[in-house]
Amino acid sequence: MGDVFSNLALGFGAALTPLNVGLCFIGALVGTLIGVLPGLGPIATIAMLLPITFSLDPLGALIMLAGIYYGAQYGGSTTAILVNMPGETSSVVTTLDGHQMARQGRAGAALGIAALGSFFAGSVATFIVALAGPLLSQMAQNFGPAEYFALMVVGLVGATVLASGSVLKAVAMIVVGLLLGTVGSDIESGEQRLTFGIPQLADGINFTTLAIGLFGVAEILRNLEHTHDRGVLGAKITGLLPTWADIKQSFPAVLRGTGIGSVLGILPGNGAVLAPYASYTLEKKLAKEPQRFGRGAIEGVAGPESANNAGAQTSFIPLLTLGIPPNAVMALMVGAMTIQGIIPGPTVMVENPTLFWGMIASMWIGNALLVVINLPLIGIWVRLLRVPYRLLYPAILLFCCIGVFTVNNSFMDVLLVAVFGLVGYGLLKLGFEPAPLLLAFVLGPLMEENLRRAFLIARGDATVFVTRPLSLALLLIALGLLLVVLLPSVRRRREEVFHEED
Amino acid sequence: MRVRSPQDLVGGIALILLALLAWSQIGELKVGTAARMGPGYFPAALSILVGLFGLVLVARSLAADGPALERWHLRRMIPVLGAIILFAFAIRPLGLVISAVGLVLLASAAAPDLRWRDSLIFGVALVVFSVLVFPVALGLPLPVWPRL
Amino acid sequence: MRFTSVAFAALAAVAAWSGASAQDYPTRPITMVVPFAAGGPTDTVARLVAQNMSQSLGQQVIVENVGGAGGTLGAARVAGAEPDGYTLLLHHIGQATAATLYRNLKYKPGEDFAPVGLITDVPMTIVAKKDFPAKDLKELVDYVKKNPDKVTLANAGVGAASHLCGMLFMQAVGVQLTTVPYKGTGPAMNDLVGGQVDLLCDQTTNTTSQIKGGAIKAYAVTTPNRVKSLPDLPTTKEAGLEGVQVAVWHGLYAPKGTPQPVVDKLAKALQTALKDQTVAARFAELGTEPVTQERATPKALGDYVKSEIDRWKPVITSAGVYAD
Repeated sequence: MGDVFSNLALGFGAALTPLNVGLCFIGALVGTLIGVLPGLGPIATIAMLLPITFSLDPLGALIMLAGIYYGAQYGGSTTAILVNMPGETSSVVTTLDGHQMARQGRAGAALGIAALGSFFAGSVATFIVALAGPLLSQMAQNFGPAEYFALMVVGLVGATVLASGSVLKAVAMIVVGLLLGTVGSDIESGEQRLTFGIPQLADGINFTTLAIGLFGVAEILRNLEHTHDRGVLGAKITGLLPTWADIKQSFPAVLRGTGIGSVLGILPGNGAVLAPYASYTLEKKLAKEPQRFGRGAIEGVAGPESANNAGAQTSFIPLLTLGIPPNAVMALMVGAMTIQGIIPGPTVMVENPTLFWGMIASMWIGNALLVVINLPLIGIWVRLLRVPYRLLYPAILLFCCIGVFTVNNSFMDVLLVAVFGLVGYGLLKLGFEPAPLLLAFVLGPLMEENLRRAFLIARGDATVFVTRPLSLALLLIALGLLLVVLLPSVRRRREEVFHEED
Repeated sequence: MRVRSPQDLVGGIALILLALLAWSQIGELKVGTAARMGPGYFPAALSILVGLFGLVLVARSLAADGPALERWHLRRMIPVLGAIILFAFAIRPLGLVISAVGLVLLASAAAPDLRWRDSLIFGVALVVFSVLVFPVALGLPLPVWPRL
Repeated sequence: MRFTSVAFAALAAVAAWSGASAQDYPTRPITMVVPFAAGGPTDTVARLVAQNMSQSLGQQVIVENVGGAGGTLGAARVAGAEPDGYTLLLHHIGQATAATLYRNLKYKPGEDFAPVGLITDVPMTIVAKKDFPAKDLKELVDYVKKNPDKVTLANAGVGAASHLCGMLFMQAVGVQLTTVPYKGTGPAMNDLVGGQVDLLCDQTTNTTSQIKGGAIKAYAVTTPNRVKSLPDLPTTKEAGLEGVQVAVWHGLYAPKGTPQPVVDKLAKALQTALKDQTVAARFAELGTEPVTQERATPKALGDYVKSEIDRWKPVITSAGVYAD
């Protein structure tokens, strides 16, 4: 234990130099602004700014890049709350209740609780990384394809909880999302699936494209219908920050979210993507009045945001301890480290303790800086919302198109935004909800990949899913969750039937 | 048989059409067996599932009451979607300035309370801001001017 | 009369302008397309080279990632670009293998490009999970021959370097192992370290740190000579396995029809970059080194691409796995 403290001291010493704090600040600020712009994500930004880091020392470079990463996470939540545009997988859940809160004039509270919850989660997660990083990554090695598949099944079952309306339609959306996820190249044979011969679809539909079209553009179309409902974003703003009551109400959700995010983030292979969804599901099921969810329940923002940030921090663990990047952003970090002359791997911790612990220390500093940056910004964002909608939405559209275009320099992506915008609008008109679709879209390919891989490695032996203890445990959880999800609706239908007979 | 839920009926039909579209694209992909899934396995299974849900929804529309169809506001939809499509086709050959101006102008046309002067001025400011931020400040590889 | 002289003047001006373009090249930033995601080995090589070339050319060389379809999307983009020297392609061995792997390519890898120069050869290593029951390459080959059903071989996806190397390995040993594809090297390495799969054949860029950290076992390198960063690893030839010689080579290309003076300027800048200390040092850490000056010429690259296309054609066709 004393070891950890002396290491942390080493780390903070390295990270608290004026230069490094400055770099952290710049990174977090740039990241936040980038994240706010719908479409443009941390990957593009980090790639853009990589050349700047050449002239910095390795620790400074990594600190700045990491700052951009979690800054962008937070910025993405900002757009999700304000204009219902999820820029990243992690901010989709935030749109559900966060945007509803904004419509009710509580944008400040939503943004504020997201910032505070994230800070708490980030601090705890940083501590976890420091204390148990290497140990946890060892344990995570037990997670094989069978376990991942089971985990994805749990996630998909939970996706139904994301919808506040008809369960039947929610499940239909999940299946459609799974189908959309199959578009692209087959992992084993490389053959094109459902790509209609369009080469840009060879690697599948871009998440950003789908999310912006389905959520953002559809939202704009819906807003334009209500000529007199200027109350969309012009509702009287009741205070810029969450009240003490808000904080008290959210605290348990923050705690639980932190736990979920920390655990899921460690799983290499991007287990962190599930964190906000799992948190939302948990909060909705635990709440005394679940019908508040989807209508502006603050726990629906606090929990997922904390889970999000905790996952973002702990996802550094596989990178720092094993040298294996769990997602595309971390892969960029690997590139940045390599260019700096540091080959990420199991030996980095031992050979380069200043770098390792300096990174961990700067994570916490970054979180603190994010709160400092974002709380005052809330006032600015809220004022921006006062701009008449007829001027605001073309701006939003422009930023989206630019953002989406820069992801792959592909005009096809922008075209697809229009397509999905139309689809999203249609979904709204037909009473379908897009959130379960999006989650299934993300989880589906992961699920299929791991299912096939598990079978491949087990030579077609299906019992592998139940003979491996972890996998069995997860599948049982999925089953349990399924019952929990279906039972209330079964009871409700029976009540309806009874009422009709009266 | 009366249609008791028009919304569900249309939704169900949409799902069935989607399933048929997906099914038609499977083509020669090998489906394989459950133990050795080919590339076509998931798409095939999922298309069937989507179709089934479509059928269930259609059945429900005839059996249970549900919401009526909502109106589609084409007047709002077309300029907005058109603006995005315009941007998509214009950005690479014509550059950011022209595409952005086109997008802002076309999209603004969808606003119910449109005031051209306001939108024009704001639009120009917006385009200038975008050019300063994205290609210049951030160094993003966006073509700014048309390719001569 | 006046009209003709104006016309002549105009023509002369245009001629001078286009001639001047070649002389003054470059007059604006150059885009170097990397047909893979940012952060990977190819991207890293590209950024190192681009940074140095920016200095010697006097204009920014900007790396643009156009990923997708195993590198063919980015390559297609450059094949169809203006041959004015402002769009370049940095691609690896995939440039040659795409000719056979993709049967519906919209461009011809061997012909639609003006080669600028070879950059580096990254060796590949044959590695296994930590507790794989074989002490050296010979035991590995014996084990594999005796238990082909029990051994799994990972790769980073169809067309990836690890996929090609694995193909070669299986053909050389004469067995068909269960290949387990992954979406990229990260996940593949992760499962290898975790013991979920048995074998992998991958670039030193990806394997060196894991080998040095003891997370995986290494058996051989696939180059003619031993690799400096892994001096204890025998070459496949030394260890008795013939026919498994592969390195992930990286080349720089311009679209076909780029004027010769421009190509020469680029080639010169590339060679300067390869001679630079920092670049060489970084390459060394990645387990590779810049190629010799003779190989870094446009002609040498052009010939090499053609020879690689021919070399891999039979290997891929006999394995029967295509990317489309």
